[in-house]
Amino acid sequence: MEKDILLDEKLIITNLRATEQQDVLKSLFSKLHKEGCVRDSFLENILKREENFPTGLKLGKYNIAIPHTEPQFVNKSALAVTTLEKPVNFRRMDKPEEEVPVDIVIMLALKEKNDHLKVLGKIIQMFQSSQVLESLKKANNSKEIIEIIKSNL
Amino acid sequence: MEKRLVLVVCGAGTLTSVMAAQGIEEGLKKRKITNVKVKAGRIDDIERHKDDLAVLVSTMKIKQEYSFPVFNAVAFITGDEDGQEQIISEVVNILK
Repeated sequence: MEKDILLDEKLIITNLRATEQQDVLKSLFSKLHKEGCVRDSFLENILKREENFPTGLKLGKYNIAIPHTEPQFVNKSALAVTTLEKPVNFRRMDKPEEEVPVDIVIMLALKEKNDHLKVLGKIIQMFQSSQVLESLKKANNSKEIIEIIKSNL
Repeated sequence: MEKRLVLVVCGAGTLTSVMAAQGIEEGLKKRKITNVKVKAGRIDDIERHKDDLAVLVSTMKIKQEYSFPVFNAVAFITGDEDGQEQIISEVVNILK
């Protein structure tokens, strides 16, 4: 992992119990906020963005959402990840009129536009793999999740 | 002058548009199409570029109708390789 995107056990949640998309986004925001990665305004903005430009991706067996927003609400680039105890519906990026049941949510806090391109490409590629998603889904704690992500970067 | 700009947009202009633009740029290069500019941006950038645009590519749904062709490029984010090839072929056809 490139050292300029923070990936830490403190930013990981496993088997989050949630039924509403907003609760998932708030939980991930809290993690990022506590570590000083994002500003207070990040939450409001990311909720609004998800409403206008949803980020649910239909991949197959497991689906993901990749909420993110503009750099001005970010202090430090970081990745916060949660697996969900039960899938939570997100609207689809390509077909916002449709919902997709999401298993894993990856919240990206990006400080610079067009920055970290290489590592972002790797991250996106990694989450496209159903094998990786399956092992993330089965992980029992934050440490395991971090290990899976690091070994696939 | 011929229009040679491919604009790739998403909501925030920081992540998915950049990823898709990278994929399209590589695809065009592989097909030896080099006299084209591929630019990533956000949805608000469309208006500003509309006179130079050959193709608009978006990872989101575009509701508005435009005079140029519009393609969806979520395949670059979901890893759907057939979908990626198809988009590149369609973009190439327009640029030819």
